[in-house]
Amino acid sequence: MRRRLPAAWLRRVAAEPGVAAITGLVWLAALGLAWNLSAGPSDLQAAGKIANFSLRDHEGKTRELYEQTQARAVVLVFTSTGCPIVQKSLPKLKALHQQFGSKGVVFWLVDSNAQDDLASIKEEARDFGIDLPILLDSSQSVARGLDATRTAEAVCIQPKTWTVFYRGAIDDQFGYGSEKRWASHAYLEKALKNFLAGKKVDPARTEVRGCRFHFEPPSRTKPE
Amino acid sequence: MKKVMTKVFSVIGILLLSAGVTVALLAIFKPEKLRGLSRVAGGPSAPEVKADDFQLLDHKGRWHALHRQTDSKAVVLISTANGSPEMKEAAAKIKALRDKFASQGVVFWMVDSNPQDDRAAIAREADQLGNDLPVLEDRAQLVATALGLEQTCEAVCISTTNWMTFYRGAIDRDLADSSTKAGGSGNYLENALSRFLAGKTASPNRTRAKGTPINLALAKDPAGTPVSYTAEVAPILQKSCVSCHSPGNIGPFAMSNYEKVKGRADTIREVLLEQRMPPWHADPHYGNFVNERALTPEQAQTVARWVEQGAPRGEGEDPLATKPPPAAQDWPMGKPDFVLKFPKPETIAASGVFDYRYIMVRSPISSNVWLRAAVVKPGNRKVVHHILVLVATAEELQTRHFRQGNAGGINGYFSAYVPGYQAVPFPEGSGKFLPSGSLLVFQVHYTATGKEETDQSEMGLYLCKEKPTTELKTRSAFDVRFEIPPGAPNQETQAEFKFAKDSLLYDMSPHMHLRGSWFTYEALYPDGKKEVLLSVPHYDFKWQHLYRLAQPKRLPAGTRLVCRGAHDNSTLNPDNPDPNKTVHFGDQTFDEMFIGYFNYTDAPPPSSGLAKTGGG
Repeated sequence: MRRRLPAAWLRRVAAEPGVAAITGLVWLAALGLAWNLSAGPSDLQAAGKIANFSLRDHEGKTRELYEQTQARAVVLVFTSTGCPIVQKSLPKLKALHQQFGSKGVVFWLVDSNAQDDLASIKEEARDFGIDLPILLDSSQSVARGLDATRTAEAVCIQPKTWTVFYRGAIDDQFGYGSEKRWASHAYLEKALKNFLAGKKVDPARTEVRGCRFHFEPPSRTKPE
Repeated sequence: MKKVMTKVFSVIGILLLSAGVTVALLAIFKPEKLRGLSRVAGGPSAPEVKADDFQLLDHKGRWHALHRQTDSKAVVLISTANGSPEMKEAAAKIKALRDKFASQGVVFWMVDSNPQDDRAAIAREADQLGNDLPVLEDRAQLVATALGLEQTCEAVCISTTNWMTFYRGAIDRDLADSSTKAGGSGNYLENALSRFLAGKTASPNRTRAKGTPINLALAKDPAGTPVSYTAEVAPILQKSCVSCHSPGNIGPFAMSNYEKVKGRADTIREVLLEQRMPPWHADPHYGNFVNERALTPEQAQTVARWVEQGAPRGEGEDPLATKPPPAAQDWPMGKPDFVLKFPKPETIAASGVFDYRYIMVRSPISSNVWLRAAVVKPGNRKVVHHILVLVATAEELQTRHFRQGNAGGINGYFSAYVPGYQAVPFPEGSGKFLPSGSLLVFQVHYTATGKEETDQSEMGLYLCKEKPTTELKTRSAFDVRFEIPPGAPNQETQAEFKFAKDSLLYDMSPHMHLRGSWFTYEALYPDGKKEVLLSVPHYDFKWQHLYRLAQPKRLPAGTRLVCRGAHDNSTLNPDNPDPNKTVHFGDQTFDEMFIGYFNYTDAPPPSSGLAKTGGG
């Protein structure tokens, strides 16, 4: 009986156009649903395309992401003034900039602390000898757009597709109130090396330790 | 025509059928894709939230931190409160579940957020219920607020791989609210844990527990009154934070106005939940200390509630802007009689973790003197993490053990500086003896700031006008023969000091290095009574606190001061320089120490009424 069931059903499909049509529609719906589901990840990937942004840096120069078509990679590092983890990571960032800057990697710091004013950002840049542009994300729109919740997060973008190939910690040297003598995993450096060599970036995502941003509620960030 | 149509529909039907089957098979063999999507899709049965890290002490004074539990697979928190009838019903079930799942890497903690429940009452109730689980004291209700715990007997299961909750609600059907209609066996928590351990999604993953409301007086303001920045928040910050978080001091940012604080409001809430700031490591259950820096539970809750309200500015002036802390005075106690200075400026590199530096300075005083105060003034407050000043007499300098051991500070330090430390003279009527020709050894711990810095610290010496009635002595209970095996998570050590005469104890300062885990001082009085004078449940090498007693403690002759403590040489200790090493006593931070320092004087006769009798 069980063996004959599909055959009988097929015969009925062949004989009755109505049944065939309904079966067809049901499977069409199922196919659509399944297609939708399997298309999900590529949708997310499409959503993973970083939207363009344009911000002023602390020296007044406008920096636009989509203008960086000549760069092989754009590294954003979120920051705010007075964050000890960022401050302690600055020597490392400067070294990475030296190492990869000539290879077409652009490094931008992005200050998404809405309360950091230009004067205090300039002071921090002077104090710590920061020679990277510090982009003023005072509306926090870049941090929101990239879902960045903490300082010291690096987001590595490839300009060919405007997608992220690494995001997370610079390395694992600094924890909250604790620091190792040296990093045992230089995540960002490894990610950049592998990316530039055309190799797989793994890990492509790590947990970040940094200061939490305070986000203004959307209602209060609306222009008046 | 009809036949042609029939055939066309049939072919379409069969084609679609096979396509459907293919896609279905694809979906089956790529389950992770669908799982990921279902999470993205969310829905009413998706209770997953990320559990922020927190630190709490339990009813036995032991320290627990959520995000340290990485050697386990899951943490189950169960809200509790004394006198909750549901907990009476649940106690045995919880214990049975713990017994079943402990060996599979599940940690069970109770969380008591009821402000009325003090430690003794929690311990009594735990004994009555036969509960041997740690009951975490959430005095400031920060954990209850963060996790939305509103009633007792609710379980929250957290995965230690991503700190996401995977089940929340009743322990089983009998302990569920009547509105819970979830089917299955009804052993909700047990099923959730079994499925989680098997790599499956808990189902149901959300039920409603039956429980007694927690008295969230602090967390919930029925009137919804905004916390006042001017009247409530700023005074707390002024009292407990700005001494370091001000220009030129060690705090990495200055709390110099409302905007500076607001931009870091969420970080401030986080450091309160994790008890990272203000730095203070004594269990508040024992002793009163004049230099205590921790916020009270009420203060912590006030600040956290303000952050949750969006850190509103409100009305009134900005005390942080209008009343900045007075600029650090050169010498708050006045001009010293003598000033010692590091021979040359010390250079501190932009990055790195530095070994202690020992800087020697010869005393400029050519006779034996008594000092009423010795005050260390850091040259650069951004980099000086601590300075201990040790004295080596001319004789001690002849011994070969000068660096390792004795003058490494076991006999005591002469003066000290830690961030936020306020210089005070030695206790009334007492003084410290400084022999002529002494060498003062400054043990300096520098930290990197991210840019190169220099420091040239000083010490001011204040002479007594006349010979003091008693000597302030720094001594210690110590052990130099301990051995810490590789990976040992809790290697205990004990040392003691016996007081030959009636004494007055003024302060205590435990000293271990990066593997230091916990440390207690307990007085064993001659009459057999015991008293814990200081407990540091989570020792942090980076904060060398001097715990100054609000009232000097009178210790009768024969009292033994017992120091107990442990080192954590496991991989779970994030500060551990090398868990594979067997560790012994030594003066560098990758070696270890076990020293319980204290300052005391001989006691005047009890009739003088200088201090209350302690314990005995």
